[in-house]
Amino acid sequence: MKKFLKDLEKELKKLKINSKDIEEILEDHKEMIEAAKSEGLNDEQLEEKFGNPVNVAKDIFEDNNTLPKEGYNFEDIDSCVKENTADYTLVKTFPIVSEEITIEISLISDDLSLIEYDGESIQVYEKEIKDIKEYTITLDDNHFELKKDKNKFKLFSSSSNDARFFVLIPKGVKIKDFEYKTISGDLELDGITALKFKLKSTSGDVETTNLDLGETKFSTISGDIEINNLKAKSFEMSLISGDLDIKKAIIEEDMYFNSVSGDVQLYEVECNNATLKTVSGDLNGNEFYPKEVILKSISGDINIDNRDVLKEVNIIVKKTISGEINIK
Amino acid sequence: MNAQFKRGIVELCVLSELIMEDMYGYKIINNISKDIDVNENTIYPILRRLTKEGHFTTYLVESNLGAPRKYYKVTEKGFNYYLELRDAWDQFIGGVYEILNKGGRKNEEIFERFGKRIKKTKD
Repeated sequence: MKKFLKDLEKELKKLKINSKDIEEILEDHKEMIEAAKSEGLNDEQLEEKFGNPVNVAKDIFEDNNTLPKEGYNFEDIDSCVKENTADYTLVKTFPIVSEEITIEISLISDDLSLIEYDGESIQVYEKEIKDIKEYTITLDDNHFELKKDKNKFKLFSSSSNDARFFVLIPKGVKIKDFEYKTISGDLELDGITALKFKLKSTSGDVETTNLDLGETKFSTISGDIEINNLKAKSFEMSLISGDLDIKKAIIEEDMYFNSVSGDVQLYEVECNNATLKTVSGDLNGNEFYPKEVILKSISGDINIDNRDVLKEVNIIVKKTISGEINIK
Repeated sequence: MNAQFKRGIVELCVLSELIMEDMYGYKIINNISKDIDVNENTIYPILRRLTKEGHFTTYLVESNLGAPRKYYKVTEKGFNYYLELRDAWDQFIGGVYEILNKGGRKNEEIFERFGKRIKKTKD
């Protein structure tokens, strides 16, 4: 690898990088090569790892000269971490005229809590919302809408502060259709009854308790989902890398999990058919009683650990390269 | 892969690794190249630039195997920069998956149909 260092030096000189920088770059490489060697890499592996000195030199040169230096307005790190204690402000109240409504919520990065309460009207509260005019909040024709006007996606645009909505739904109100969409906002749901339920989150986390749902669809990219005490007719879940955790659920019909690498944890769950389609995600169940299971995976497993031996689990389809179904 | 695009992603990976713990150069390279196809060529220039821009600081730690090693540490500025990149990445990849997954469970059917169509035009 001495040649590598020599070549690198030559290339850096060719590009007229100043000698102090060259010295530093060579020093760094010497150290990294030494570290690689001490881990037992042979010459061939070293070459593969360190590649071509011409490219290193070129990349350093380009990085030094062509990349724009953005002047970000970084906010104090504390603002990301510290919980703000400011109280919520009531924004709108809608008296309920019908017992059946539809709900449509579409947010970008704001968090939302939607909770059932002993009251007569839908109440919307906010905390730290920058400009409430950027949101549509209406109840028209028994259709409740909470939406943030979407700006076009800007790569590396500065992210806004985490603001939060708090929505109260009167007990006994039946939701015909519940649709929720977010990019990075977190969601908390408690005690909602809905016939049709659809949730889409890119990286926001979701936590639900005591939901009574019909046809249920969750989909997330990297957000985690935690579900406690769920009753649903059917359940469909699509994950990319987020994890799903369900504690206590009764699903009348089938459960369908589609995941790339996200794992699924189930505790005290009953359903008819459970299908797991995954690349490398696992499904682990404790007291998980599907009548039948289907596994389609590259390396994902299904592991079920049950105490009640009388309830049998049938394996219907198993298409996998190295995945397994283990039932205890 | 487009070089500029790849560089942006590797930048995010480097930040992500260093947010977990301070590391020396070779370890970062090793960790990242385990999962994605990059080598020192791509990573070192990024380490160097982000250090120059104040996203990382460095310190030396004696090693029982030879020369002291240069450890990289994320600064407050670096952490904020990571949050920005991460947010942008999540939004972007979310959008991409949205497009790719439009067919949903019917995807396989769509692939099959597309395959047949291609075959037809070839014949």
